[in-house]
Amino acid sequence: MNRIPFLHLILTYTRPLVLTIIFPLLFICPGCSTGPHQPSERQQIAIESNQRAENAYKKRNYIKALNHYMEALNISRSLENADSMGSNIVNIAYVYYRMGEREKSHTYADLIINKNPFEYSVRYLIDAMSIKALLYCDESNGKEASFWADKALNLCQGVSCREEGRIYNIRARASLLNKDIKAATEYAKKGLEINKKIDDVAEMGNSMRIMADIELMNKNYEASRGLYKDALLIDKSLELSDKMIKDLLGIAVTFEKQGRPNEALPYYRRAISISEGMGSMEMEKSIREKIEKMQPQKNP
Amino acid sequence: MAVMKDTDERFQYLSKKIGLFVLIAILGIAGIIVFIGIQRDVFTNKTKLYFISENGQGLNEGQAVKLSGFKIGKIEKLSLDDVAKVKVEISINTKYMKWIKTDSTIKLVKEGYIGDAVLEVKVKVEISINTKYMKWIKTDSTIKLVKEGYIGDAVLEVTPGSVQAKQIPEGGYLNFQGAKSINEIIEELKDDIKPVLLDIKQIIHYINDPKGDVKQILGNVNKLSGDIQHTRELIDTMLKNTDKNLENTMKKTDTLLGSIKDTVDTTNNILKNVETKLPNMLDKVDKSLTDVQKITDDIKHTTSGAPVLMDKVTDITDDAKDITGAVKKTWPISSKIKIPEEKTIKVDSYE
Repeated sequence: MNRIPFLHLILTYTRPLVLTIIFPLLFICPGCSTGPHQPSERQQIAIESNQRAENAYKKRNYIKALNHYMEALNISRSLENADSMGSNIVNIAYVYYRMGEREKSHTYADLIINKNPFEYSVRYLIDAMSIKALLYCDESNGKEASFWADKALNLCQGVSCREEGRIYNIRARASLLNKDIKAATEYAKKGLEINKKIDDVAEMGNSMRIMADIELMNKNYEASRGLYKDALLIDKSLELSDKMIKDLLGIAVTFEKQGRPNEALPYYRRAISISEGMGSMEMEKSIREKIEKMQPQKNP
Repeated sequence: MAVMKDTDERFQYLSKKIGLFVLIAILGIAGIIVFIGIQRDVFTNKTKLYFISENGQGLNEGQAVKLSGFKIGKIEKLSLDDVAKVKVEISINTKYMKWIKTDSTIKLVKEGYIGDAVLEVKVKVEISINTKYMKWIKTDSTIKLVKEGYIGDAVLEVTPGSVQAKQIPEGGYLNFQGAKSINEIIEELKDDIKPVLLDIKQIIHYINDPKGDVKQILGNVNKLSGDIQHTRELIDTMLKNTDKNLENTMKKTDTLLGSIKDTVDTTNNILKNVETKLPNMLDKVDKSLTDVQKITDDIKHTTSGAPVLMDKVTDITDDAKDITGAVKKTWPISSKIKIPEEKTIKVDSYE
């Protein structure tokens, strides 16, 4: 019986309570709390361009991506938004790198490094230096690649950066180019350790692949194959087709080096299949050439 | 039994007749031989002479010896003497010997470009001139053999001398200018013809020059002829095709005309129908148009507020956008909505 008057009391006062206290609070609270800063209308357009560019990049439509990044960069330049400019310049440099336009990639990376027209954030500087190191790796210039990777690492140590593991991987590749296998092993292990710590799975795969390359050079084929397989698992989980091909080719080469071409062949075929799926005729052709050059297996 | 009787008159004196026939034949043959002998001067008295030549080139046994163009003898024998010179023995008809004097000379000449060489003996010719005309004959007068025409005998023509010259005495010598031989004429002609021939040669060379104007013109003319021929063939072909096409076109035109006639007939029928039905149709169309106009007026009346409505919709949308924006900024919703930002592509260490 006592409960019923209490319920009645609540029901009686709920409506006035809502109308007099809670509803006004909805209009008062916006003034009390500060929401996140909204970008300006023009900056919003730049952001949209950046997002469209990112989508195009993911679809490997590099030309379209470049156009949108350029559009975004022009807007941010007109607004002198340093952060936006840095981001777009790094993106353009990286897209050019992926397109194989090394000189243009260097030019854009240098804009950040040379503080043109002003100083950019450290994270963009680290990215620009990493891109320079990658460009020199592609040019098989181990010395310059090491120089820029070391500079990026120095910058990283001053701030807490997630790029450290990635830079160690680049440094390991540079050491490999310098035929310094010991240093390369050290850098790759360090990179793997850091990448595990920050849970950067893609870079973990890269670390493993570099270590597999090193083992292959050391003629430790079994160890190399194991690392390639680990890297393949990671890359497959992340659906990174390019890297899957590299892993499969690595595995095939270890078999081939051991004089087991029959075991290498399925991996080559898997690599061809992925290439066909990606529509990469050039890759497919180069793998077929490798198969043709393969020595037939001798009967035991 | 004998077929013919010995008493046949035709056989009487047969042996005498045969004897006479044979005798006549022998006399005939002998006569011919004598005639040929006479012709060949076999029976003529000959006087043998000789002369010495440096060499025997052009000299042959039997070669004729001529005097003023007449054959008076021949070379009998050629032999080498003690000093290896050629001794030429000639026999001259004795009747012509009166012309051969101690100062006579003999030389080897050719009677023409074609023909054998002959030995020519030169002699002194004595002429007699009427004394009354002697006043015109001077020491520098000449005498020459001329022909008064292409046909006819040649005559000796004496040219009067100059006024200053003295009259030639009895038995005087006249400078003789013989008629020009073919050789001399040819020699004279040669000098005249040579430059002409050179010119002709140059002209022929000019004409024959493959890079020359004439050859090029001829080549062009030849090419032009070929082109014209080709053009003609094309025109022929074209004309044939034209004939064929024209024929086809005519056939098609006939068919077309037939179709047009049909169409015109059909059109006439249609027009007749239209004429019949058009007034009714026009009435109906007019009525329909009236209805359409009425409907349009209704629609116009109904949608007169549309622009205002659209403006209102736009305003409402803007308001909604503002409200949404405001709500997004409102706590606690604002904490749940992620503000869009520019992203940097993650640089990959092993691309």
